[in-house]
Amino acid sequence: MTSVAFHPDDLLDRSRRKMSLSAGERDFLRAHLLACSVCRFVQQAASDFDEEVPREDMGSAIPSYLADAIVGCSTDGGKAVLAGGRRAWRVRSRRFRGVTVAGGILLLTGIAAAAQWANVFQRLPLYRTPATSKAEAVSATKGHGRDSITSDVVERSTPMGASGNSRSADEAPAIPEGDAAMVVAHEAPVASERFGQKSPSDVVAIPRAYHSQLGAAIHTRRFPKAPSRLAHVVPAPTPLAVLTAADLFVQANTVRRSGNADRALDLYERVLSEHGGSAEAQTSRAIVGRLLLDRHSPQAALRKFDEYLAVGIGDLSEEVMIGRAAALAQLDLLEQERASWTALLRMFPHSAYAGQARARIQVLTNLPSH
Amino acid sequence: MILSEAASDITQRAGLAKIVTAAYQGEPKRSQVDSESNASVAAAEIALSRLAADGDSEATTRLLKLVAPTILRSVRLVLGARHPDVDDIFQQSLISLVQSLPAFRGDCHPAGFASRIAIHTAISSRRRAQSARVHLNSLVAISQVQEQEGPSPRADSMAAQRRQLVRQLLEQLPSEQAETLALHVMMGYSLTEVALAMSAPLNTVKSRLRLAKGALKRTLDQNPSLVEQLEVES
Repeated sequence: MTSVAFHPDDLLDRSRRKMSLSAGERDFLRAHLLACSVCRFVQQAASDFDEEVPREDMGSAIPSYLADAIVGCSTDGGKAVLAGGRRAWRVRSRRFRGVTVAGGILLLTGIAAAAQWANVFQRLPLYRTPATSKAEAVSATKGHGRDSITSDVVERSTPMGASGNSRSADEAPAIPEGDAAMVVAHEAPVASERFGQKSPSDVVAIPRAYHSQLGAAIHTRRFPKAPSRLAHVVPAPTPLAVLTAADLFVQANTVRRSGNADRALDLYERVLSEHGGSAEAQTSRAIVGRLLLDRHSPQAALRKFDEYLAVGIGDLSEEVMIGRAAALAQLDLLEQERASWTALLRMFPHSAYAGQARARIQVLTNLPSH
Repeated sequence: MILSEAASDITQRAGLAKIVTAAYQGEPKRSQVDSESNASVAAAEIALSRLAADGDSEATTRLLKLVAPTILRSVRLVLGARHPDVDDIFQQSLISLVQSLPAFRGDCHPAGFASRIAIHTAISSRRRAQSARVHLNSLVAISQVQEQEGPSPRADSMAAQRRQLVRQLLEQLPSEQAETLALHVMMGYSLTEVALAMSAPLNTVKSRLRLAKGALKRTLDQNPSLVEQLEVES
C-alpha cells in the first residue's frame, strides 16, 4: 500500500472547481500530485478537454425540424430513419427485439423437447438391448445369491457368442460364475447408467486374465450396444451444490442482522476459507474484525483488520483503521494505537472520526510515558 | 396539459434552461443563480422529462432542445471535436434519449441523464469503429491540431496525445468505468453529480473512478515517453 494508490478525488474535485481548500488540504494535494503521475495526467487531460470543447461553447440548440423528426422517429415504430445510425436504430427497434426473444424461447423449447424425447426414446422396449436387460437383472437380483444370476447369464450369452464369433459356445473359456455376470454388466454401461444405477465399471471390473481370454468379440459383437448417439444425453451425476462467495456473504449478512453472531462468524469464515480472493472475502475481513472486537477478542480482530489493510485500500479502509485503533486500545498497545489514529488522520483527514482521533492522540501524547 | 404548460412557461422564462444546464455543469456562475429559482426550474424540467416519457410530443421536442447542447458537447468530447461521425452519433444519442426516457426516474437533472446516454452511445460507437479508421482519424486530428495557431505547437500536440490516450482508454474499460471517467474528467461533473447521473451510490462511483485510474496507470506505464514529457510539464 503506497500513498499513490490512494487518490484524493474529493480534494482534486474541489481544486478543479476552484473551491476553497484549507492549508493542510492544499499541502496534501500538492504532495500527492507530486507523487502520482496518474492524477497529474488526469488533471492535465481535464483541462485539455475543456480547451478542446469549452463549456461555454455548448453549441446551438437543434433546429425544430430535427427535433420533430426524432420525436416522429420514436413514435412511428422506427420507420423514419435519420441519416446516421441506421444500423443501430434497426437493432434497437422493438420488432427486432421481439423476434429475437421469440426465437430464443423457441430454441430453448426445442432443446427441452429434444432432451425429453431422448429420455422417452431410451425407455422404448425396442431399444432395450439384452445387455440392458442383463444389467437390470444383475441389479435387480443383487443380494439374492449369485448362482441364480450367473446361470442365467451364461445361458443367454452362449448362443449369441456362437452366432457372431468363430469360436463356438463349447470352446468358450470357462468363466467363473461371478465373473460372467461382471462381463455382461460391463457390456452395457450406458444402459445401466440410464436407468439410474451406478455404472457397472464402478461396481465391478473385469479381471484382466478373463478379458484377454474372451477376446474383443465378447465386448463388441455379442450384444448390440445401445445407440451411442444417445450416450451424451445421459444425465451426468448431479454435482453437490456449491455456494458462491456472494451467496455465502448474503447468507452471513442475513444471519448477522438476525442477531446470531456466532453463526454469522462461521459463515464469514467460510467465505474467507472458500473464496479468499473474492471481493466478498475482503469485506468479510472487515466485518469479522468488527464482530470480534464487539465480542472482546481484540487480538483476533486486530489480525483481521491487518489482513484487510494488507490487501490495499478499500471502501471500508476508514472503518477498518478505526477498528484497528480500538483493538489496539483494548490491548493496551498505546503507542501503536496513537500511530494508528495518526495514520487515519493522514489518510482520511475529513473522516467523521477525525475529532475523536485528534482528541485521543492528544490524550495519548500527554500520557506520562511521553 | 396544465402541467405541461406550466413546465414550458418556466423553462422558457429568461433562458433559464441554459442557466440550469450551466449550473449543473458546476460552473462558477452557479453562485449567481438564485438557489430557489434554480430548484424550481430543475423540478420543472424533471416534470417536462416525465411528460416527454409519457409520450407528449411537444414536451419531448422542448426537452430535446433543452439538452441538445449538452449531448453535442458529450459526443464531441468522446469522439473528438472534428470527428466525422459527430453528427451521426449526436442524432443517435437524441433518439436513444427519447427511447430511454421511460427509464428516467428523475433522480438527476435531465441534462445529466442525457450526458450519460450520449457518452454511452459515443463510446459504443468508438468500440464499433474499425481500428484502422480510428487510427487514421487520430492522425488527422493530431495533424490538424499541429497546424493550428496556438501558444506552442508541441504543447498542443501533447494535449492531443493526452486526449487520444483517454479516448482509447474509454474503449478498453468496462462500460460503467468508462462512463464514470468520461463524465468526471471530460464533462467535468463532480463525483456527486456523476453518482446522480448514473443512479449509483457515491462510493460505487469512487470505486469505479479508482479502477479507471488504475487502468490509466497501467497504460501510462506502457508509455513511458509520455510520462517523461508529463514530468517536464508538471
